[in-house]
Amino acid sequence: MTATNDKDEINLSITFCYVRPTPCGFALGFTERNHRPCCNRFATYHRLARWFPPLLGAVLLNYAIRRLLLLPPMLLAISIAVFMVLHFIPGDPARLAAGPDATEADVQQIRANYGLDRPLSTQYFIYVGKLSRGDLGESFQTYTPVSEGIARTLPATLELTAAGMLLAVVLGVPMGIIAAIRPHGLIDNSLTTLAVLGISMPGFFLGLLLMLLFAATLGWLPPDGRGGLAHLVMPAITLGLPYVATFSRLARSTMLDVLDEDYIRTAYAKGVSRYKVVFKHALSNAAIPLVTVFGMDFGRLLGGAVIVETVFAWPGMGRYMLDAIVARDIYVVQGTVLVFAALVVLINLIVDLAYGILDPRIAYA
Amino acid sequence: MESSTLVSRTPEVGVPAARAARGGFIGFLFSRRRWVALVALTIIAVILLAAIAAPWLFDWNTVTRVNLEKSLVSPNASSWLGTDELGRDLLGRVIWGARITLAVAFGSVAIAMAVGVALGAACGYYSGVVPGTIMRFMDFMIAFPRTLVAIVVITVAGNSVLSLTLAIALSTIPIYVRFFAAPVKALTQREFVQASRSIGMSDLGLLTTHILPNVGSLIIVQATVSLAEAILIGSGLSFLGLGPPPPIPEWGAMIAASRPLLVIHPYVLIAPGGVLFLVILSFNLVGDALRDYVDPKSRHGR
Repeated sequence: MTATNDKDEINLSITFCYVRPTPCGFALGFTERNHRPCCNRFATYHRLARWFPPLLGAVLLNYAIRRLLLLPPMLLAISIAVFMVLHFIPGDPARLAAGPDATEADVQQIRANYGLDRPLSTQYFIYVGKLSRGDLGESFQTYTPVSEGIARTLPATLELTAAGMLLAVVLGVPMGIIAAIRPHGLIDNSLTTLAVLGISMPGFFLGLLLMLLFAATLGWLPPDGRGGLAHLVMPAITLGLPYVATFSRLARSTMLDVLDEDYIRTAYAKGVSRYKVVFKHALSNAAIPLVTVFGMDFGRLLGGAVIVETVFAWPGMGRYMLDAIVARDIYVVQGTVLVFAALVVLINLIVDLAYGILDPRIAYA
Repeated sequence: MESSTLVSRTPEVGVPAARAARGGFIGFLFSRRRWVALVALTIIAVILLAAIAAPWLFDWNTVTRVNLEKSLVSPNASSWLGTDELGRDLLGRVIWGARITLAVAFGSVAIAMAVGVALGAACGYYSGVVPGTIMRFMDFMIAFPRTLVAIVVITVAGNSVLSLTLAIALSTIPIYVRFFAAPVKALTQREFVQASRSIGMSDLGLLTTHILPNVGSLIIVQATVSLAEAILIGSGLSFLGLGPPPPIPEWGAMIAASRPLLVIHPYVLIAPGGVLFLVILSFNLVGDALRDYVDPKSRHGR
């Protein structure tokens, strides 16, 4: 299958970022998750924690706090990148903010007000200083704070992404498991076909087709906008469908790998029922790669949400960002890209934590 | 996962793939009765030919000139797919769109391949601080949504065919670097490479005569699948209005323009959308078949 093969190449080694104590303070270190040194002591904790669950919580909490401490330096690195990139956008932001019929003096005034006449490094420090107070600047178009715009649009994007992800997991994983139980059977082959179709379908085309069928022709669902559950159905399907396909493929291939292992044969030999072998013995191991891909695909889903929001006029952050790009409203672009990046980093943190719960061999070193 | 399992997961490189049938890839498809892949290959060939022949089939003027008297005509004998809201022939626009979409896709994959394979090979071949740092950075980039990276690039570079190509290429490079570093690393530890090194072959010579030819099949498979993805992302960006500016026919932009007319005249959506879907599907199917052809192990199912 196309997507899964290159996927596990990529996914098994996401960057794992950690703080490394050095003689002069702390430095950021990067390692691959699969190269992380295994710590036997942690395995002992885990074994103990099986008998005394509060201990697991303590170990995880320690790890979570350490990972959370990493968040600010990573965000800082991202903010530098975003700031630098957006500085190179053609067009003078002060002139854009001033409007077409402003005098040269007005433009100068605005440039001074926004600090755009200062050196780049000073501008960055001012920007970071504001950032630490939660101030993302204000929009050139509406003169409202960017943080307000993000607060308004972020819940819509999260709702859409969560619904798409839920669909992908709830449909994709069981489909893959069913396919793995009887490889090359009728169900497996038809699911393979469906997966190829799902991966090849452009989201915006699917969205418009759904709109044509369910909203315009049948009139079952509202065509666009955000509201109750009915509004969410079509955008969630549009966003989630390719991921149903990738998840089902990945669930199938990892299940096939796991079902080949000796301990599964042992379980069958002991007389464990097929249902129990598949869903308890095999799934708990097959879940680990699935969780990694979940983290990876969350980022992709956020990217896809930008398109789906445009199709269904969903008032989310993707729309907010695109409108700002068209109008060259740099503070809004900066703010939204930063929030998108922070979301990706946060989700990977959560995935790392989930990893520790699923796989006791992972050390929180 | 240990690094050894990562290596074993990469398709067996260095061993010339067993050619099951004479007549190359097409012969393989016939002998294995892979009719679906054959049809997909035919579709790609037809669309490629149409894209190349576009200037002889349809005049650039008829494709871009506004002719309101003939707007929103349903498919008929003179215009086979009907016309759009500005009276432009849809078949002509779809064919010219293929020219642009495919040029962007091929261009971006070529750029990304050139940079990605070179960087990936270097990072796999050498070990040290610099390759390590590059790989870490690539991992970091991969975690970010590709669409978002491409959007930022276009924001900086402006709307044009070239910047669209560059945006897709830049967002693809990290994936290639990651993808090619592992098999190259595996190859450098093989006996024949070690042997060549021991008789004093230079690094560049090793890379070009022993290592790159052995990942050649991987490159071809990955390129085919990437074309599907490049078309998907490129048309998605044009759909968002970040593609080439308006009179240029591009499938994603055509689909975006069809949105208000969806109910009264669905042909405007279905003509470019259907072709887009068909092309992406064909590239994915051919990519799958190529993988089976190149890597006999994957034929049995994973």
